Parts: sequence; structure tokens; C-alpha cells
Amino acid sequence: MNRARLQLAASLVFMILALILGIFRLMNIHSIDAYPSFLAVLYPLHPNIMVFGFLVPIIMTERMVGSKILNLSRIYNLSADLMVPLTIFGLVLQIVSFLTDIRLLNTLGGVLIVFALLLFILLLYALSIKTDTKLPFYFMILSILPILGFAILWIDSMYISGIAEVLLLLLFPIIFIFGERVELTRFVSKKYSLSAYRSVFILCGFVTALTLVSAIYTTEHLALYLVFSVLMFISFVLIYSEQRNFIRASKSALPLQRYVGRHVTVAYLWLIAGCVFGLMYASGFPGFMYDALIHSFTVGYIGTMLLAHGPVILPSVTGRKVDQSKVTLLPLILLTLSNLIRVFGDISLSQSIQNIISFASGVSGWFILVAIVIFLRSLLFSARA
Amino acid sequence: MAERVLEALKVVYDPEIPFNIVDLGLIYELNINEKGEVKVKMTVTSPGCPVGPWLLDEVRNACLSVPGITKVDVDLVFDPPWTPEMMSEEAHKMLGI
Repeated sequence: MNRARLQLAASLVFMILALILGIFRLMNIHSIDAYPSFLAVLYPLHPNIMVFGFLVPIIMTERMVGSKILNLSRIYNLSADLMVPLTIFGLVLQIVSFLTDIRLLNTLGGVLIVFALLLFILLLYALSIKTDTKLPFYFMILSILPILGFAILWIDSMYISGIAEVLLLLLFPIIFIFGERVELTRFVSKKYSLSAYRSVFILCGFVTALTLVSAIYTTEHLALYLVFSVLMFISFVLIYSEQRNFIRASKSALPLQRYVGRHVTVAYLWLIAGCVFGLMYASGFPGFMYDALIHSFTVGYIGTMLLAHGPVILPSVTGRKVDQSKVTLLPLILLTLSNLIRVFGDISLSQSIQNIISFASGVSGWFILVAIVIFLRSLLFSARA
Repeated sequence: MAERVLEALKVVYDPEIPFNIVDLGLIYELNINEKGEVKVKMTVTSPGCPVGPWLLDEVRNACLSVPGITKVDVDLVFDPPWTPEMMSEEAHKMLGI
């Protein structure tokens, strides 16, 4: 098994683990008591496992694969090779530390993760100097700063206590995906779209700085308003630019391009929904707005974007071609329906339907797992060498 | 022969972009010798793009699908850097840019 496949496999294992931790927790919240005790112990690490076990390694791997066809110098190639093993090893040390209470392992794990993130920044810098169009890479480098800040600030403690800390973890995939969308669409964009992308970058920098300050000084209230408002504005800018100049140009596109276009549109709608719930949460609106915003961002936006890009990235990572006719919208439908139930359960306040909604919301996590299994099966088993 | 190879390359798409790599202007140079050996000088729209390795494989396969082609050598370059102006007139029209 080559390096990229091994990294992909490891990140998928962590994703399934994080997903199962979340599913049982969700059932537990909705009074379906089925949480196995050995899993319940790990639940506080759920966000760390999802971010440092899955999202960071899988995004690093796709960039590592892309960098291997370039004639980069030895130091950059070494960075590309080391960053994922260091991240995963760091996370494993932190998990062991959490289970055994040996704090030194937690610190050591944190140091390894920080080092891995610095190597990733180095690789992205190496890629940026190969092109005159540097903006997408600036986005990607910027996206690493929130989790770098998280890893440094909380090197001695893995517990996440506030929403600003959760937002730091969320900003990584959100801003990185912005960068990838700009990378893909910048050349088909009109001049005003390019100006808008630059504004989006500045706003993302502002959001990152604000969230970091907010996490350090725990002054979350006003910061949250600003973060969610800015993210919503960015979403509209990206949707407008992409729909106008790119997705609309895909009328004669291949099935895979239409598949990506549909997923991206749904993902942006979830991002906007997350921002709306965020603003409602910051306003003290009744209902579990915090849960609704987290589910909209994580399962809705990030999950849908991962479904969108899986069939595009996988052939390069595995070296196997995906049969486009086997790529279906079923996982998207299941994921979207499941998350709609979940979010409706979060915001629903009516006591008369509370029990039904609560049960449906409690078991909705399993549909996400089913969606992921169908998605992986359709990609991995339809692939041919 | 070069025209046939170029035509074969028109079935290769970046999975997310609705234009083939020839209309996108990613093929810089195509040289074929009398033994049927092809040298393709090409670029990608962004360095480190994850679909890059897959795209190079597709280019090799497309060239080899043309009868008479015996060997393919793909050279990935970034000089000159690719710009949207390199896209075909048809692509420009479709995008309205």
C-alpha cells in the first residue's frame, strides 16, 4: 500500500470513530441510552479526532499527492511526507494521554501537531511560489492559523470549553474549502469577482484574528455576531460568483461536474443556515441554536463538500479511476435529510411533537453513517486500476 | 498524426472544469517523432492541484489510444504560467469573459 492510500485509510478510520462517537452521543442526548462505556469515555475528544484525525490528514494528503508531480526541493518533499504521520501520531499520543492521565504525552502530542501544521504551511508556500496566482494558497495558509492557534494555546489541555474554541477548529475546513473554490473558479471569474475574492480573504483574516482573541479572552458574544455575519456575506459572494460564472457554464458538463455543482450549491446553503443559527444563538434565541449551527457547519457544509470532492480527488490518491456512472446523489440525499431532521430537532420547541422529533433526531446520526458507507462503497468498489 | 493526438486529448477533462484540457489551453507543445513517440509539454491550472497526477495519467492514456503511438513522455511545466487568456475562444464565449 502506498503512502497516500495508507494515509487515506488512517483518516477514514478516525472519521468513522468520530462519527460513531457523535452518533451515540446524539442518541444519549435524546434519551436513547445506548452509549457503550468505552466510547463514552472518548467523547470529549470527538472534535479533536474529527479535525486532527480526519480533516487535517485528508486535506494534507490531497495536497501531498498534488505536490509529488512537481519538482520540489528535498525539504519541501520531506515536509509533504512527514506532515500526516506527525499529525496522526500526535493525536494518538493525546488520546493515550487522555485515557491514562499521563500529561507529558498530551504535551508531546501537541508539539508534534504544531510541527506538522508548520510543515503544511511550508509545503503550501512552496506551491504558491510556482504560480503568479497566489490568492488560493494564501487562503489555505490562512486556514491553518486557527488550528495552529488552537494547538498552541491548548497544548496542555485538550478540553474544549467555549464556542470560540470550536469555531477555531471549524475555521480550518471552512477557509481551506474557500481557498479551493477560489483556486478552481478564479480563472473563469470576472474582474469584480476577483476583487470580491480578495475582500473575502481579508474578511477571513479578520474572522480568524477575532476568533483567536475571543478564544483567549473568552469575550465571545460580540465576536460571534461578527464572525457569523462575515461568514454569511462571504457565502453569498462565493455563491454569486460561482453560480454566475461557473456552474452556469456547466450546462454541457460531464456527469461528475454536474454532481459537484449540485453538492457545492447544497453545501453553501448549509453554510448560510449555520450563520443564521449562529446569529440567533448569539441573540439568545430559544432552542438549541448552538447545536443547530454546529450541525449545519459540520455535517451540512463540510460533510457535503467532502461528498462533492471525493470522486474528484480519490483517483489521484488511490491511483484508481472512479466509474462516473456509479457516482450517485443518494449519499447527498441521505446526508441532507438526516441533517434536516437533526437541525429541526435542535430548533424545535413544540412539546407536542417533541418526543417524535427527539427520537428521529436521536437516530438520524445513523443515516449519516449509512450515507458515508454508500459513498465510500460507490467510490472504492467502482474504482478500477 | 499530431492532429489525431490533439483530438484524442480533447476527451480529457479536469473533473471539475467543463472544458477539455485542449480548450483550456493546458497543452503547450506536442512533438511526435517517426517512431510514434510523443512528447507532451503541458501545465495545470494550479500547482499542487490534487487532480494533477490523475490528469497526467489520462493524457498518457489518451495519447496511447491513437494508433501508431508507441510511447508518451509528459513534461509538466509552469513556464510560461497558465493564464485564462490561453483558453480557446469557445471557452471564453461560454463563460462570457
